[in-house]
Amino acid sequence: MRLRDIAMKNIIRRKGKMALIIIGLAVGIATLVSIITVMLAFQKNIDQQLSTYGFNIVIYPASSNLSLNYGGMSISGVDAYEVKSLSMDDLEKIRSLQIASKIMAISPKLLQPADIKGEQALLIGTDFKQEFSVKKWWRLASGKKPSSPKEVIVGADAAKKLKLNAGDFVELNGQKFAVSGVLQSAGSQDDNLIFCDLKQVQSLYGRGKELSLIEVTARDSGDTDLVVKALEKALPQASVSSIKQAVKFKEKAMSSLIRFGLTVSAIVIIISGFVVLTTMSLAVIDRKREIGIFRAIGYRQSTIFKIILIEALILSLIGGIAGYASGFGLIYTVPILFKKVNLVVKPNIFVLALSVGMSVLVGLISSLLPAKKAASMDPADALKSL
Amino acid sequence: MSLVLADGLVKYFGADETTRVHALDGVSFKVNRGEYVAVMGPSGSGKSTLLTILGAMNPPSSGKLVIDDIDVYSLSQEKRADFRREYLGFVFQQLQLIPYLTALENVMLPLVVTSRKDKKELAASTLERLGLGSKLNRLPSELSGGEQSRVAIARAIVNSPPIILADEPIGSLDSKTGEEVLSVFKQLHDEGQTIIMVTHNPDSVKDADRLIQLKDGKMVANEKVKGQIVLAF
Ligand SMILES: Nc1ncnc2c1ncn2[C@@H]1O[C@H](COP(=O)(O)OP(=O)(O)O)[C@@H](O)[C@H]1O
Ligand SMILES: [Mg+2]
Repeated sequence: MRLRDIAMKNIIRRKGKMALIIIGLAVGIATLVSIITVMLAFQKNIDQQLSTYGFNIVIYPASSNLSLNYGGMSISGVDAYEVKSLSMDDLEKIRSLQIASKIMAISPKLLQPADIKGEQALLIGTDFKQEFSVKKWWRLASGKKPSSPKEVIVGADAAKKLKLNAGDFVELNGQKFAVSGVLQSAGSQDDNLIFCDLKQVQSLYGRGKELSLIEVTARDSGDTDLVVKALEKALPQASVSSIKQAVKFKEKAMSSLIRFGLTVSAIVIIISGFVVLTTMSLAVIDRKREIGIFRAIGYRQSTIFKIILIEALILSLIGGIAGYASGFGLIYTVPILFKKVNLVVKPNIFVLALSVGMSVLVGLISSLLPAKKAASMDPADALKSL
Repeated sequence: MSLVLADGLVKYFGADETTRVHALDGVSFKVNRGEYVAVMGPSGSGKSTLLTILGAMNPPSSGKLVIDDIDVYSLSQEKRADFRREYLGFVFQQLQLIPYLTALENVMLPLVVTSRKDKKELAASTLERLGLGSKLNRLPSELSGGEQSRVAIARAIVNSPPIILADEPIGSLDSKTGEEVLSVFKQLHDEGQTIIMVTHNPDSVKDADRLIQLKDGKMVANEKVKGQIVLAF
């Protein structure tokens, strides 16, 4: 038998009070874990967005009535009757810029609402060759890349909604197009779109040389700011935005939310500390006689102190693990909340270590005072009542 | 050379000189090695106070306690804890066992904070010696009052301290069980153990060598026990 056995046996005997301490700590840690788990998932999401869309720049008309959320930005020009502010001519302007060598791909696009099988759908005219080089992350769930202007590619959600498969045919304004492929879900606006040849959309719907947006990819992510500046100068009627900026903006907005969350969990953890403090203090008073016996048979004050802290250590280890499990479990089992943000929640050994470390820190600090009180109990006084 | 030297022990409670309670009011005596000393006195006469002072856990207001040439209260708190472990074994009236530890574990307690290797064996053999060899793993609540007392005695003697201090060890036991427990003390005494026992039961004094009587914190008698006991209070 060692001191830790004595501590453990006492814990087992006082299950109720000890459970209260574990729960107190676990609640605090769970709050922290859920905030951190969301934060990490969000950071990962942002990093992913940056690494996939990070090179991309979107040019879109400055004024709008309708808008489409595109890569985190609102893109206008979905409305067919919008003042034409971007056109095919702008592509030439871009190609003749001095910084053109820093541009890897230019993908013009035209958005067009369409009626397919009696359902509202959103067509997007695009240059397939350019589009595939801009969107390196595109993966086909079925079918193949289009090889003729009379073929379309369908986003994952659109395919589901319209019940389209690779090899099917769709009618666009009376003309027959073949579905060459269906995209895997990317968690972006692309999931809802039907990709069609740009010239086909322009002529089918009588939109001339009109464009809704132009997507530009820099060769190097370090050049994006430079390219954005040059484009803004060349196309004063348009808004130019790098996705990097948009994502950074989103990050900023999220970080203040996370700061708030961390503040809340700090408060909850402080409350946990008080729960530990009061419960431990009560337990110590309860054990006055027992401590008197320990002292009488020759346990030093420091030994009593140690016993109480060992108990606190055991309880906070359990509390930390329980807190991690429930915090993570909460975030994992309430994915509905995050479906829209498309966060991927994963267990994280560092968060587990942080939880246990934090719990132990709070548990031990809050037990210092009760332990000191226990150690300085007067054995003569405790045994007088015997 | 006596083992215990109590010299003018005074203990009062309360700061105010006019209202303070003198629990012990100048008590001096000696206890020799191997002696069995009984302490009697009416309730509130200062017996327990004296015992906790002798037990190195209650500093006297004035006076001196020397055990084995050590001025006990000149030691620091922690050193006094070590002193208790080395020199003293305590037996109290009741509620003295840790309820969540088995008989064996209770007896092992004083050994836990030592570096001995044979803790379990020593605790078990001590319990066996007191006739509890078959109940090592029982919790206190699963033992009779007399058995609990014997576990407490085993715990007090497990590390062979020079002195056993007992405060009304049979106070809560019926007379037959009390007799049994007293016979354990007698046996220990016969083996050379020094014992100081507080009691309120005149019958329990018959085995003692000497009787100290207290009244209102003062020692009113300190004499050899020979047959008839004369109460001085
Ligand atoms: N901690 C204390 N504070 C105040 N008075 C005390 C304290 N301990 C004991 N006393 C008083 O000291 C006297 C002696 O008490 P005690 O030694 O317990 O007597 P006994 O054990 O002989 O019954 C009593 O009057 C008691 O009320
Ligand atoms: Mg008493």
